[in-house]
Amino acid sequence: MLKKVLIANRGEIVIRVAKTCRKLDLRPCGIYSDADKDSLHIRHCEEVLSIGGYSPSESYLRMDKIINAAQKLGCDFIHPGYGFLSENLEFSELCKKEGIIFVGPSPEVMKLSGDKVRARKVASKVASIVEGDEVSKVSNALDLANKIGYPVILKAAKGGGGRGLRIVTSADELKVAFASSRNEAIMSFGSDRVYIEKYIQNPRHIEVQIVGDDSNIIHLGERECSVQRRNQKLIEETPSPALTNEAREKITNTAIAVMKEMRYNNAGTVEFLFKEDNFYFMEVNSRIQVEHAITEEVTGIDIVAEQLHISSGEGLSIKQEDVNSRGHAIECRINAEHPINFVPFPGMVKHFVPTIGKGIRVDTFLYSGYSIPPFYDSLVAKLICTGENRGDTIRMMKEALFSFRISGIPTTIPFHISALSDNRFLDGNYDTSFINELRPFSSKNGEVAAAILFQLPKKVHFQKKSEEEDLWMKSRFDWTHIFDPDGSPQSSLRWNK
Amino acid sequence: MKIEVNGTNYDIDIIGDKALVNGKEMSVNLNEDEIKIGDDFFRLDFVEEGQPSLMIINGMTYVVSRRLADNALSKEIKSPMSGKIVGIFTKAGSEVKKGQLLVILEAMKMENQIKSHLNGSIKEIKVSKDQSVKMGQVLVTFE
Repeated sequence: MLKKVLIANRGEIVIRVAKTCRKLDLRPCGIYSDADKDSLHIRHCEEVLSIGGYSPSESYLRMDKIINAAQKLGCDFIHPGYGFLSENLEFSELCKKEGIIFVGPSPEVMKLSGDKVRARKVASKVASIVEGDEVSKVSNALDLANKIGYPVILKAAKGGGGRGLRIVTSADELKVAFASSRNEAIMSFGSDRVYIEKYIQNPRHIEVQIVGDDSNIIHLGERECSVQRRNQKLIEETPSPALTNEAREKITNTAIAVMKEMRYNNAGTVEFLFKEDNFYFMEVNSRIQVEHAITEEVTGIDIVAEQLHISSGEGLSIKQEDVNSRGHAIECRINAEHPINFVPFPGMVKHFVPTIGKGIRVDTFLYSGYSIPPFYDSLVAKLICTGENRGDTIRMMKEALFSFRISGIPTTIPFHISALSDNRFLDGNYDTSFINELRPFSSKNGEVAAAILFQLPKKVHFQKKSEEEDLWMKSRFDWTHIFDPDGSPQSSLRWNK
Repeated sequence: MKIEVNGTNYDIDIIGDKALVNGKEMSVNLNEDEIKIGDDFFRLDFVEEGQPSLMIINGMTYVVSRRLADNALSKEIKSPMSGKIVGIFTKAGSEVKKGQLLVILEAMKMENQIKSHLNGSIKEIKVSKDQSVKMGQVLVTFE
C-alpha cells in the first residue's frame, strides 16, 4: 500500500507538496476548514477531511483536529507546509508521540531554531550577529535600547514572518511598541517573549537554502529577498545581484556552519542581513519557504522531495557536488491586496488567466469564480520566471505580469510591474528600503482609458457586490488617509504628483 | 469635465458612444470588463468607485478623480475589513491629531493600526476591546 502524507495546510503549498508526493509514489491527503470548502487544494489531494472552523485558531492551528485527521486517514507523514504549525515544536513532538513522521527537522532542532534568542547564541559561534538580547520588562527593554542606541528592532523570540516586529526610534515609542509587539507575539506564536536588536537601517536581506540529514549538510545557493513591505517579502531572486563569488562562498559556508552547529536535519533557511559587505546572522527558518521555488528552478532540485527523503530515513539524495545552479530565477508574490495601501482584500475572483510558457511556473490555488476567504494569508499566486541571465529573466517576468490576468479583486501585480520597471531593480542595486521610493508604473493610453471610464454614464458592472463590499467602497478613502500618516515606518506605495 | 489621472489632467466629455479627450474625438466601446477606445483594447481588472476612484487596467494602477475642492472629510472611521478590536487608544471627548493611533484591529493575522485622518475631537467610540467587527462597521465618530 502506498504511504500517505497529510499536508496540513491550505492553498498553493498543498498543491505544490501533493505534486511531489505523487512523484514519489506517496498518497497526498488533505484537510480543509469550513471557509475552505471551495479551495482548490482539496481537489489535488487523494483523500480529504474537514476539520471545520474558520479562523486559523479554530482550524489549521488545531493540533488535535489535525492529528485526528491524520489518524483517521492512516497517514504516515504530516507535511506542515509553511506558516500555521510548520515551526511549532509542540506539534512536531505530538506527531512523534503519535507515531506520525513530521516532515521537518527533529524536535531538538526546532526547539533551538524556534527560539530566536537561543539560535542567535548558537550561531554566534560561527557567524556575526547584531548586538541585542532578550528583554522581559519594559525597564529592561529601555535599558538595553539605551545601551545599544536607537533605532532598535523588537522581535518575537518565537516569531517569524514579520509578526510582532517593531522598529523603534525612541524610548516613548519603545514603551508602546513593547506592549503591542508582545501582544502580537502571543497572538501569533503563543509566546510573549521578545528580544531587542540594534536596527540595521536598509540592509539587504539574503538567505541561504540548506538541506541536510544526520550525516551531510549542503546548500542550494542563496536568495535575495530585499523587496519587502512591512517585513513581508514580495519579490525574491536567485542568485543575488549583490554578491561577488567570494561573498557568495562566504555566506553559503557560514550558513552550513550555522546549520552544523544546530545539527540541522531537513530543509531549512539561514537568513542574513547584508550591509556594506558584512553579513549578520538573523535567524533560521525550519520550514519549506514560500520562495523555495526559485531555488528549485535554478538547481533542478525538488526541495520537497528532499524533505520527504530525509524524513523517511532514506537521507539526502544529493551531495554538494551534484548542485549546479544555472540561470536566474525571480518570484513575484501575487497577493490579494490593495495595490496602494496593501490592505488585504479578499473577494470574488472574476477572471483568472495565469501566464503560461517556457520558463514560467505559477504556483497558485486560484480559479475563476473562486471567493477568497478573509481568514488567511493574502498570498494567492506565485509567479516564477527562470531565464538564462538576470536581464532576460526580468524581461520575461514583466511580459508575464502584463499578460497575467486576475480580475474582480485587486492584486499586487501593478506593484510588481512598477518594481520591475524601476532602475534600482534593473541595476540590482536595491535594499529593504526599495519600496519607499517606488513610483507607480502606468501608461498614457491607460490614463486616457481610465479618465473616459470614470466619466461614462453607467459604471461597469464589475462584479456582483455584496452589501459588505459596497461598504468597503465607501470606507476606502477614509482608510487611505489612515494609511497615509506622515513618518510611518511602514511604507506604502504613494502617488507622487 | 476636468479629470485627473495619476497626476495628469484630462478634459473629458462623453457624447453618445464617443468621447472628447482634450478636444479630440475617440470612439468608445464598453463591453462588460473590456473597453475599446479608438483601436486600443483595455482590460479592466478592478474598479473601485469613489472620489478618487482606483482602477486597475491591464495590470497597472490608475487613480482617477474629478478636480474639485477637497472639503468635508468624513466624520467617522469605518472598519476597513472584518476583524477583532485588540486595542483602543482614545476616548470620547479626546482631541486627536491627524495620524494619531486610535484603534488596533487584528485581521488576517496582522495588527492594523487605525489612525485618525483628521484633527478633531472624538464624539464616540462605537466598539469595545475584543469585539469582532465587520468590514464597514463604524468604529469611531468625530464631532
